[in-house]
Amino acid sequence: MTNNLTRSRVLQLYKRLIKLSHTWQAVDHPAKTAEERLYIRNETRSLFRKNKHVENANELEEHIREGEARVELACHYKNPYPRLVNLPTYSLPPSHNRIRYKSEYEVEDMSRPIYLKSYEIKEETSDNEEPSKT
Amino acid sequence: MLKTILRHGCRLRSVVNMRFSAPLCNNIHTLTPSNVQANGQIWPHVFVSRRTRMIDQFVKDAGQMRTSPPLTPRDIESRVLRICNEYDKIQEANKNKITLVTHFMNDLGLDSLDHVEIIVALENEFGFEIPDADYDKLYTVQNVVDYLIKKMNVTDRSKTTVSSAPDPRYDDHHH
Repeated sequence: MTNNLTRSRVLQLYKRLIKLSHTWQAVDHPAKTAEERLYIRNETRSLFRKNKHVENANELEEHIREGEARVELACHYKNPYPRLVNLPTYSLPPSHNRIRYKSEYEVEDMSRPIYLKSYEIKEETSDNEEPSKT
Repeated sequence: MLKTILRHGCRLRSVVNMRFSAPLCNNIHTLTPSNVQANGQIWPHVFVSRRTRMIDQFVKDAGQMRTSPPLTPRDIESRVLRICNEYDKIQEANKNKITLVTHFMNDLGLDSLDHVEIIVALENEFGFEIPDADYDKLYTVQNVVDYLIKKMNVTDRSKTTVSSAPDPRYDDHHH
């Protein structure tokens, strides 16, 4: 279902990342240039392959945004590793003793940055998973 | 001061145009008084040895601007096959069996992302950008070779390149 435009955007993003992995220079720790280049290359390969089967247009758009955000952040801060986030302020970690209301889910959804989209852990729900189309 | 230098330089032009071998160059240098005058006065023999060393450096630099040997189709084929073999996603069983008619996706089981990586490697090897619109044409090794031949205007008969660099076979007398 992916039309050619999104497909070419995805491939361009991939190409940009591969080229970045060839020319990356580590500024903070110059001895780790090779390690960071390998990290960039392996990260792009694994995440692009993990999300290869996304069909929903909105999700696809968000994943492209995620890729572009990570590239821009890496180039700007000279650091390819994403900055991890924790729970938002004034919230509690989920626990089975406590009911989480919808507002709490919404706050947590809004606090998650786009560049960590591939790392989200979905809570186990009782919905059936849709069969993935290749 | 400058006039003195120029006068010295002009007088020595015939000497300066010769190419001195390294031992002779060292001998010339040792003919000078032990400490080179640091107050700016340039002795003729010091001037000569410095100029020959500069000229040797220029010759070496010009040699590095030598054009690459003219490409033949066989050369392009071997380079493309080498790059395909170096790609680490390809299974070991297929590695040395890549021929001209191999299709990246059907025969080697690669997907479009791997295809992009191979094309980026080819771009790095041959030194020019391949536009995105042409990716669809490059699914088999034969297509890649033909495309590169067309882009780089490679002809079958090798043209003799005329360059002003000296012959590399006769460069040894500087060592």
